[in-house]
Amino acid sequence: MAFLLRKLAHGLLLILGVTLVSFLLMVYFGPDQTYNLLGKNATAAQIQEIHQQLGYDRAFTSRYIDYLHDLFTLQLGASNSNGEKVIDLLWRSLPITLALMLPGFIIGNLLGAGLGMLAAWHRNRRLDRLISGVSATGMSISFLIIVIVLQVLLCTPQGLNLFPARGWQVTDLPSYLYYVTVPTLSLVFITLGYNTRFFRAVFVEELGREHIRTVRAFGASPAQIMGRHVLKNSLPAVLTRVLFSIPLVIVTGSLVLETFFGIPGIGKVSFDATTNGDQPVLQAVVALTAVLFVVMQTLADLAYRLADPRVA
Amino acid sequence: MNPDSPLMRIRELTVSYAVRRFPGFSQERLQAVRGVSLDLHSGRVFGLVGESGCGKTSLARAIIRLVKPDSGSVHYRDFDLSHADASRLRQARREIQYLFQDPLASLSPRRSIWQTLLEPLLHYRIGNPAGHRARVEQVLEQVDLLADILPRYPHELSGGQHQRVALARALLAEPSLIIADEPMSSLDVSVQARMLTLLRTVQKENGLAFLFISHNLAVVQQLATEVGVMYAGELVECGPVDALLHNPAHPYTRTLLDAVCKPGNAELSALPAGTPPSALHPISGCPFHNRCPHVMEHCKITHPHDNFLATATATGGKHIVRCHLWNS
Amino acid sequence: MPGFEPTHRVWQKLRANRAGLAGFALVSLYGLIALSVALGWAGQEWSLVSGERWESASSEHWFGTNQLGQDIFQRAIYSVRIAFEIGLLVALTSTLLGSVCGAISGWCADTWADDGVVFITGVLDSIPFYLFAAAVAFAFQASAWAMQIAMVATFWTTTSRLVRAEVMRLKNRDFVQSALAIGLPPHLVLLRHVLPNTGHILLAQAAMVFVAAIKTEVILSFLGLGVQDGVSWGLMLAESTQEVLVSQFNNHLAAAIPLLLLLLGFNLMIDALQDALDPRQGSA
Ligand SMILES: Nc1ncnc2c1ncn2[C@@H]1O[C@H](COP(=O)(O)OP(=O)(O)OP(=O)(O)O)[C@@H](O)[C@H]1O
Ligand SMILES: [Mg+2]
Repeated sequence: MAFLLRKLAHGLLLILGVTLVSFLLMVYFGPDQTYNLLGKNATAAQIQEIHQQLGYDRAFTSRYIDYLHDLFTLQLGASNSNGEKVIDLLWRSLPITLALMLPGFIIGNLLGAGLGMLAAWHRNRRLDRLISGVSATGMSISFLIIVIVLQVLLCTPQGLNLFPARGWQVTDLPSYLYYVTVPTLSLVFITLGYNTRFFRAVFVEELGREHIRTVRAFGASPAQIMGRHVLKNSLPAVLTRVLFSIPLVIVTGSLVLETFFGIPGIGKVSFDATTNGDQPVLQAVVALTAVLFVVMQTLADLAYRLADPRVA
Repeated sequence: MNPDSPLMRIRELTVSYAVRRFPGFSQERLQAVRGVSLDLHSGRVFGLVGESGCGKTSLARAIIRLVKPDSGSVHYRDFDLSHADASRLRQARREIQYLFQDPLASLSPRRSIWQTLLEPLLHYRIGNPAGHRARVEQVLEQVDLLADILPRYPHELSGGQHQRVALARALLAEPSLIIADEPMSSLDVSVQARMLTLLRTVQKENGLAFLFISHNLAVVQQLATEVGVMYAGELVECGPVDALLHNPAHPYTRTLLDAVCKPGNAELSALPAGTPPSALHPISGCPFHNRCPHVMEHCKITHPHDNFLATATATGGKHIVRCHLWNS
Repeated sequence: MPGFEPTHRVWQKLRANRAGLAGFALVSLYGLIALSVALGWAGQEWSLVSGERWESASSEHWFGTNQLGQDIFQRAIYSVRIAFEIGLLVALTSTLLGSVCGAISGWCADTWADDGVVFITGVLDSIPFYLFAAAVAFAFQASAWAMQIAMVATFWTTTSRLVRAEVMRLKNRDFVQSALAIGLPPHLVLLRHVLPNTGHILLAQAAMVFVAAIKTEVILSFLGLGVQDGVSWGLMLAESTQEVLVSQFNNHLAAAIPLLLLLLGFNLMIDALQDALDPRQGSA
């Protein structure tokens, strides 16, 4: 119980912290929005009115409290560039991002786990060296290069020209597969090096334990050892990492992939907001993602605790 | 200064640690040392014994202010360490040196022996730089070490050598009091005997005062002129070594001695039944009452005070016991 | 003794690791190039329009020219300098910030100073990096330093957390206590006895931040949040996203291959370093 309260208090504090940072960067010390909203030749009265609306004439704390209130009641305002309500914009783009990123995220983790397992099982032998070497190389290749190369190979007349280079006109399963394949492949390639390395480290640690070595000496089959002992014991570590990496991979990945392939998800929305200086949108995305991340983190901590009572 | 007046007077020293449950929330205090008073004299060795966790190290650290005591006073010569100004404190720190339980751990791993030994000379500005090398070699000889270890690093030396280096570092500061916290418990037995001889020689030659903390009553017996027994943060009995070992007054001291007298039990391992009260949740009355064979009703309620025993000995030291049995 | 690998053993292990040596050689080579660009010996004509658009490789333009007719080789070489500038600046600043904050927080563990540092690292770690970078770019509109500020503000936290844990471990070690016992002031104890023993963490961490900074620059420059004017591998790759669609690969390759080799060299070096400093492993 004390643990629960402590974690919740901690999570609340963190939420205050992340919202404060986004408030400071984008509202309080952010650039003056007056002329963005009114255009160059506003009258003094108009300026005064908009200042009042934006709260530029009020004290720090009251503005921050208002900001929190608006954020948690999801009154996020409207986009500066096309006047669409931010909340609608987010609701429209979030499913696209999820549909775009989830297949790659899942395949990347499964493939990483498989390769990591192979490498760990054959530790310090040729297969391990090969897999480790390839994943080190994978980690050394920039995201951008992977994306460009895949696009050229698969989506242009210079290459196979099988898939579209840009866009997202998804209506049914075939069209979904048509648009999602190359971004998914990109994401898998981008994350594979890191995933393989992580899973290999976890499995090597687990396989090195005394009881596993005993089971191994008795001649249990690899499948039995892996399935029954190693996987089960490393589940908490794996789950934590997967949970923690969801926001990071999805945010970072969608920012690059959606911009590159012209897909109207959250990443593209934030990118456009950045280039246009569209403060309401950017501010909402940053604050909400950070809050979501803290919530995930707290949930992961609680789940971990439930799964393993030894953790203090 | 009057030769009979003590080099160090410790009065009612109390040490507690803050134990935090979680950040930003309330703290609990763990009482490690409660109201300990004792005197240390030049040229004499005070042996402090007690079970693990009874607060010996905490007491020693509070004396040199590695932990801040809650209350009580430590007077060194004629000034109060808790109110000493910076230069006084520096001088006191020079004259009071500390030997740690694990000598390897007390040597900085990435500094050569030479750098380690030079540190006190530089820090206290002892001698002129030209003479440092000669001084270091002189002290090394005193502790039976050769100068060829100087360029080496701690991990390249043996356990015995570590403790000698630590002793040399202490001696280089030209101390008048050495606090040794179980200095030999990490050494093997053959090395222990040589170290004991060395400590005794060094103490005699330099006329040092020693506060010698140990688990081992046999060692204390060989070295000490006075002995103090600690239990649950309190000094329950102290006095001249003969008086204390031959006429133990406190029931706890007696059980300790009984345990030691059984063959093969030089260490304080065979202890009376029961466990000492937790430092976090002290019991009322005398801290020993739950294990004491002579427990009386008011032992459970009132805390005993210090009683002076009349059986003064040849050395003239006082024999003090904190027990209701001796209330006059 | 656990946790302290004697220096000469570390060297032995490093020298025996051939992949690590190769990585080190590669990184050194890049370092030399960066230095000679910085000293004005090479790569100075990166912005000069010296040819036609998209000339192919020749003895005059080793890697050909780009869309504007600028020499790609000059640009690639100059980008080494930019990469090192960003990497070094970010690595040094965040290592400094991380070690100072981590040391203070670990030394004063369980006080308000520690709580403060831990809270700030927790907050900064909770904001996804690229969004944070976007927010910083937004706040410091068009400042040339927005990228570096965002990177330092994010990367120092890991160093700080590692240093904090190590300092907390070291603080209670007797050699630190004995330095305190002789009355050495705390800042000298930290400097002389504690921080030297965190050197391995700082070294490996600085190298990792260097790599992260170079990789991040590429993405941020592509997103328009990075290098504002000038040239960098990131900008070259951003340019090339249009060029590759019309079969002009020179710009892409001239940025991608040097970037790949540098990162590979660094990763090999870091792996070797961590292996060598890990006391649990036997000598190689
Ligand atoms: N830094 C600290 N913070 C909190 N509690 C502490 C700290 N140091 C010691 N304690 C507690 O204070 C009590 C006394 O410890 P101390 O180290 O003084 O005992 P000791 O007599 O030296 O034991 P030993 O013979 O095992 O060395 C113990 O209960 C211990 O757990
Ligand atoms: Mg102790």
